[in-house]
Amino acid sequence: MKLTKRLWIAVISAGVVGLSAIAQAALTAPSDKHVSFVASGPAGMKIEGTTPDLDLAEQGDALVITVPLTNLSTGIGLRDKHMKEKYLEVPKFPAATLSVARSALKIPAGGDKVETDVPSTVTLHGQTRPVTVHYDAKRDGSSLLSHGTFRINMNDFGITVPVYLGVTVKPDVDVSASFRVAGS
Amino acid sequence: MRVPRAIVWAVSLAVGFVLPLLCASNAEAYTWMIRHGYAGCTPCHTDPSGGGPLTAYGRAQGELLLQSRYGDTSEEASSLSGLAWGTIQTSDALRLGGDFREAWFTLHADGAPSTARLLTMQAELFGDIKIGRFRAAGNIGFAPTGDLAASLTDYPQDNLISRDHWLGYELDEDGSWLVRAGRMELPFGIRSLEHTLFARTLTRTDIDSDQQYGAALSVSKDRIRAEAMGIVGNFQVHPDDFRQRGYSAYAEYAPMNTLAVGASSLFTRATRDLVYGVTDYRYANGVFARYAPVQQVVLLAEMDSVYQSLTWHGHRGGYAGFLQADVEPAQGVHLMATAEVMNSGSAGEPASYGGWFSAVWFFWSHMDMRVDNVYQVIGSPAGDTNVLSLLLQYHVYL
Repeated sequence: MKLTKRLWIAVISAGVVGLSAIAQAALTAPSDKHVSFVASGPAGMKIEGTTPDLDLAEQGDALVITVPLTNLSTGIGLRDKHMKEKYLEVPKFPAATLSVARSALKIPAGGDKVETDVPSTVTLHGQTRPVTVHYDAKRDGSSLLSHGTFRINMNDFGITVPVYLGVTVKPDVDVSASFRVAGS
Repeated sequence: MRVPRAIVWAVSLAVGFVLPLLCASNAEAYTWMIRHGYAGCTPCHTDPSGGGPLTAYGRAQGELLLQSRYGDTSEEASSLSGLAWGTIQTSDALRLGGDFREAWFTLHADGAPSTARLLTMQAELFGDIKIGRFRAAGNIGFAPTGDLAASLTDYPQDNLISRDHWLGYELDEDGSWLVRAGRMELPFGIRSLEHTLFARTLTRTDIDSDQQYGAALSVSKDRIRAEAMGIVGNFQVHPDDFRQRGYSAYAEYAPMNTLAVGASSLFTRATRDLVYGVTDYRYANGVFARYAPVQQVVLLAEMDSVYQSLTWHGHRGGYAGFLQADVEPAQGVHLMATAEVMNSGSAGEPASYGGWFSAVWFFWSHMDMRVDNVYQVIGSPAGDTNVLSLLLQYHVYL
């Protein structure tokens, strides 16, 4: 009887440790990183910006994604300069962050794919606002591929709506990020 | 001594396809601007499908993205980008412009004497005004030769011309939807500067003098560009029997800022066709695409089928298409290679082929130089004829 009880304690403990190991193993340095945004102008004009910079870290019970904005680019030098110096004020606010509670995340098991919405908070231009992120995640061998999208309004983050020679960018911006993390 | 029929055929086709090179082209629309993520034509152009007067934003892009930049230049567009190098100020509601294009043209076709001449391809002024949501636009120019279909006067040469003039109304605050009526470019295919490509001449949708009167509705919203036009004829051509009636339309989708795919459709009927002199029903349908795999390279492609029903001349089904690669090794310098093919569908007519090797240099504010070396093999039932032409152009815009 004592032996059975000890055996059960050992099995459960191993399981808890194993689960913790899985949870901890998911937070290795991300690879295949890609962050982009799409803003709109008048009459169908689209502005797309991208950066390969993205960091992942745990802060307490939250998973925090940090996107340094220094290398954010739309492909046109002057437009990038205006975007970073005048509107995003990157020297003052060098990064954007997205924070989501780990408990709210669903991690796929085996070959399943998870696709759902999760509440999060975005900090951009010194302002923090709640945002709903639509994300999907699936296993790829020993890695986890994750992709998320959400929409923000520039006005909510105190960002002056860009205007250049009569062309006004609309305040709604769609943001997308994807990355891969190694782990079991 | 009679000239062999093959030579007559080849020279006629060469004149028909190459001679329009002598004629002016409308305000420039550079479809390869897709390399900078500009899949649509607004906000640089006032014509929703490209061309026409430039907006202030478009003028700035002309300096920032189009022309070569030298030395320690300010990243901001200079005052030179403005109208007439910044010497003329207008309100935002009034967009004015002008184009002058002079060229040296040589042509050599098998069995025919070579020709060479200096010619004025383009000399015109144009404007667009916006009051509230109402729009009005037009251009007026001078054509020493050619462009008879756009002539306001009736001389064999030295005519006043007007290719575009229309009234319009923007249906939404954004300017995404525009309804227009007047004389306009036909919405069909890729609106490129090379208006003598087989695809443009066989479909009769070039920017030289194929404009028609009618009413058009255009949309440029999200990732969609489209325009549909009801054609009521070219009222600068007389009598009414020669005027075409029908429609022309295109729709384009840009899944990415650097990729756009589209389709076109056209139908016209003329009681007396300008070319064939008989009742002509013409149908043209095609697909086209623009893609910039990297910023330095743009690929343009179009393929159209054309079907005609000609009274007393039966039916003919043909095709025309092209593939163009534009490489910009340094800002302002373009090297282009274009391959084209065409068969109008006449009985016994083999395919015609063409190859263009072109270079353009936007060397300074509002100016560019261009050379086009065009080699064509014009197919005819009596045998193919080789045609070689060289066009050197100097262009300046206000």
